[in-house]
Amino acid sequence: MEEEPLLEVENLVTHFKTEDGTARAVDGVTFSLFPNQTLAIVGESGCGKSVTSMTIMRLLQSLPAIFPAGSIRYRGTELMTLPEAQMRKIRGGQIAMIFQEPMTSLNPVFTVGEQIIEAVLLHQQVDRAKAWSIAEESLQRVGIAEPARRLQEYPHQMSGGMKQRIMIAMALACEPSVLIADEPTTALDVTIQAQILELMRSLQASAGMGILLITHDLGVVAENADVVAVMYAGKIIEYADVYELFENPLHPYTRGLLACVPKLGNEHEKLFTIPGMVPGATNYPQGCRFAARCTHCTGTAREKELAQQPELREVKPGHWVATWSAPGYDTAPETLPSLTFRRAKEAAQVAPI
Amino acid sequence: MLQYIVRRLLLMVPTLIGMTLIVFMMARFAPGLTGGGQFGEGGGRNARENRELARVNLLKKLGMMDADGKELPLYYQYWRWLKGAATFQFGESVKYGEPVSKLIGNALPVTLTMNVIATLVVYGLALPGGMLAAVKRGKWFDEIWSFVTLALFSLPVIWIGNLAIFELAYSKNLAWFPAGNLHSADTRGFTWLQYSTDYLWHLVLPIAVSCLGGFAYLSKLMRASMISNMYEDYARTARAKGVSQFYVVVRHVLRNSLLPMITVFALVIPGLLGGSLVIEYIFNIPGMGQLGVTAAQSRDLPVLQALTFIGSLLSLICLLLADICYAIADPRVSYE
Amino acid sequence: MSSAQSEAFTNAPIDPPETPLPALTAKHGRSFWQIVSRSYFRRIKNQIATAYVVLLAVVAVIAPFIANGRPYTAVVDGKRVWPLFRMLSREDRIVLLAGVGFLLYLAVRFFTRKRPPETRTPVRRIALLILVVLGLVASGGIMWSMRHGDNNDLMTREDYKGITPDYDVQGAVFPPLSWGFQDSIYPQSPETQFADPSKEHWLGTDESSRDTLARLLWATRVVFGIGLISELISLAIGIVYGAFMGYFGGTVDILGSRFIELVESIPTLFLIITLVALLGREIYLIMIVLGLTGWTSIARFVRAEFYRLRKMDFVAAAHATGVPLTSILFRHMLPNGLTPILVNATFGIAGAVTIESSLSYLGLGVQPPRASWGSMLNAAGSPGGIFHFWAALAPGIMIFFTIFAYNIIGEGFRDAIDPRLNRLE
Repeated sequence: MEEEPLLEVENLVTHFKTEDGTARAVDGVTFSLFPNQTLAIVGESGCGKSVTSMTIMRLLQSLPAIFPAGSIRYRGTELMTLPEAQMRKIRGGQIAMIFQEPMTSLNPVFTVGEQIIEAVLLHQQVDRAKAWSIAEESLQRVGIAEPARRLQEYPHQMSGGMKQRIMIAMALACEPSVLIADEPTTALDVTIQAQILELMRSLQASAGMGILLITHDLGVVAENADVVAVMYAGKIIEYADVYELFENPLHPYTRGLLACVPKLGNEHEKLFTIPGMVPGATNYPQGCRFAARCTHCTGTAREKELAQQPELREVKPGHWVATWSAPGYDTAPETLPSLTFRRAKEAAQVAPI
Repeated sequence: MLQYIVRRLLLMVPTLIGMTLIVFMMARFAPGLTGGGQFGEGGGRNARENRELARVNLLKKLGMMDADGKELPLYYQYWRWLKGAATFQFGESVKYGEPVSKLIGNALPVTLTMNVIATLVVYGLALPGGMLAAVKRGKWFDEIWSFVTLALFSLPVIWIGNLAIFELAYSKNLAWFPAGNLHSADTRGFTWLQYSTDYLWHLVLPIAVSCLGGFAYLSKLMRASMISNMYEDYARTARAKGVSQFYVVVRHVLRNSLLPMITVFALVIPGLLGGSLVIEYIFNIPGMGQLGVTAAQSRDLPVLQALTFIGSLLSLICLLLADICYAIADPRVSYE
Repeated sequence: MSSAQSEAFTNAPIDPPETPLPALTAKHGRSFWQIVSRSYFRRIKNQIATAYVVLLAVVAVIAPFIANGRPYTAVVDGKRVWPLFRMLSREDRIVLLAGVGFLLYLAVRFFTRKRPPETRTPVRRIALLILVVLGLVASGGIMWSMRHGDNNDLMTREDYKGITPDYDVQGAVFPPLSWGFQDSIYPQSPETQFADPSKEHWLGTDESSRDTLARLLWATRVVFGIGLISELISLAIGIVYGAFMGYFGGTVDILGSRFIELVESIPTLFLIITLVALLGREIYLIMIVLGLTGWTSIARFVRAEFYRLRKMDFVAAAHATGVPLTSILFRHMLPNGLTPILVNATFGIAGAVTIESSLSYLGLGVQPPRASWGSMLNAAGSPGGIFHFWAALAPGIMIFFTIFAYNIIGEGFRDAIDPRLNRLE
């Protein structure tokens, strides 16, 4: 039986109108997220991954310059056309989001407890007393010692790692089905990073959540992701499960990314970099957007690349890529990327603090 | 909390001392001080000698010279002046001959009443106004609002004040308000209520005129503060939790945006005090401002010194109040 | 990724492919100032405000040449004379010199703008040096000629106009407005005082039967001069003070803040009227007093900027390579923090104009017969029931427009630098 996806994004497009023209931040993104699965969206800064998540949550300020299009379905319900009042029930209650900067993501003038119960009271029909105990429970679940005391503290009295745990607790207090984590560990040091990611893994296991993990760190992807979507210049250019991607990267950009990671034991004089810069979102070239920096496409493949933007095609079962240089691309079908793959997970341990 | 207040008070002591020093030293910058053209006080053989005699007399009166005409040492003068200032005794006004403390005692309540009411009006109008402009950002309301508040802020009181009297108080035009002064001509037999009403009616125009600039400034500040907070990460978090835009603004953003408004309060009263110089002059209100103007015009040093001292004292008190309010409002400020 | 593949990838030649790389061709980069001014001059209100201020500056410089009771030239009793030029005061000449010098400097910058930086900077420096030397020579010349020249004019405006029969005047060429700021209608009468606007006097006359428009134009010099120079003084004090505070932090910062708090706690206007009352009403004194009381907000700003900048790497680098302290402060850090300081300074000028006109209004500003819009307002409307609407309108509007223009410029500039508050992200 086909599993039902939690979140289906189809041809998502978000354009901004700016002084310099239309910025096509997200230009046709498609993926699906299943329960108990972690989908990682990888890409460098400015490729559109954050805008994708903000568009899903419909968190982009209703500035007149935004033109979203495409379809986002949560458990079958179309979110793009949902009235705002109902969207608010889903936001935080069904789909929760945590952000990159824990230091500034909490309101400094309210206690941590007040901020958590605000979410609880919004989405669950409970009274204040019950809400406080739910908040306390959620703090315990994320491994914070003395939760009752912590609830009365203010954000400035906590460290970055603890604040991020609070954010996770706040996001999970209402037991959402989907958690969108936008670079949750980028602003933390490595040891805390490991703790936070472990925490997320264990919470996912107990709740069966789907996690949309947005990051630029391939190490994080390798350890935590089940399925990976590589984004470049507003489009997904490769989509596969994590093992397949790391063993068999097909797109030159993905290969470049992987080559950039310095490895112990290799002897090189200079670190590898991908030459050139990401094209600005207001003037993408007509053909493949990576072609200008690509040193792999040659000959007829290159001509095709320059002529027309290649679409995602399933060149192998379960592996989509958007480049003419991939073997078998000419004849591959253009199916919608969707994988139910989940890796085998060890029992994760939550380090209490 | 008490610890915090005490600590702030202690920190204020050097500022206070410094201020008294400056106010005292102002007297030294008085070349040829003759205090209001009291030339030819008699006893001299020509104009020059008369001037010299007048000067010596004045210096004696000001306490800078002792009875024998010898100039007193500086620190002694300062100490004597400081002792007087601490007990609010500033000597006699050169122009009126009356004790300065009496003059100020009459003038201070008037100015204070006016300025307190003005502050309330300004804050009461600017906070909602700024909030509205912030929420309706980018729409035509906001554009017009910004332009109008900037214009209001730029209006010179010296012109608008007189224009207001001319248009709204002369019987030739609309005589809605009295053309100045603090009371109507004949207030005998007024009950307390009638007296207060009359008093307030006389204050409407001056307060309205003096509020224009402050209102414009504060509402701009409020708008800017709110807009910058609306884009902060914590506002985004609140929205991601599913809080409606209304509550994001009213509960989360508003409380943070009010913090700069508290800080600014320290500057509002000194600003109004300065403004009262002009307002009271135009509207003929016997407050500290008018006292200051006549003192400056007649070079009445004791009054000027006393006014500056009292003005600075008031400013420092407001600064302390603002600090305390801020410490209460912002949990990030520690009391230790 | 297998090691063979990664080897292949990392060792792949990074030669540019045959077809050109459109994404790599950068547009001709625009400097920060170009971006800011483009954004600034886009809006119409900024354009108008800037044009107005420039116009004011021009009027301030050439006021003696467009509103003067003496003609440029005339033939008096058979001899050609140049009364207007001969009777220019020292201040008039110096202001003219400064104005011309500034224009020349702008011209130099304009004509060298297309050169590459290597040749441009030396050329500009040499030109600046030449200008300075010329300026000094010219100033010396002015001083000398004022001292030794014939600076007495026995003829009055009526003489030049030919109204009185004492002199034979032919071919007198008058400036566009043939009234100076102290020329009264002769003889005076109640009709000539506060006269309504007429063909002869476009804005009417004032309480001493002087032409309002002429006084308005001359007053520009006072207002503009005081506004600009007092703000320059405030800038000088504030920048140095704030730079040291921000850079060193610690005790210097604490002590410095105490002193700022001290100065700020004294109500500005009280302090100013006291100092003006005691020291006298010389225009230069007023400039200095305003400058001495207005530096605190600049100092705060500068301190905040320097505090932020000193943590940046380029400062540490300069320090590590042995750059002297003053150089670090003023050649490396200051240009980076300059823009918000300029915004603050513009608002400061607006404030200085307000204070100056209030002072003049209260009778504590520049001495008569010098014209200032504030004193003109006082004559037109003061407590006691006098109010001449039209006589008050002209100076009132001028003060309003000037302050408004500076505020618009300040705000426009601030929005051009940090558009977050107005534009949509």
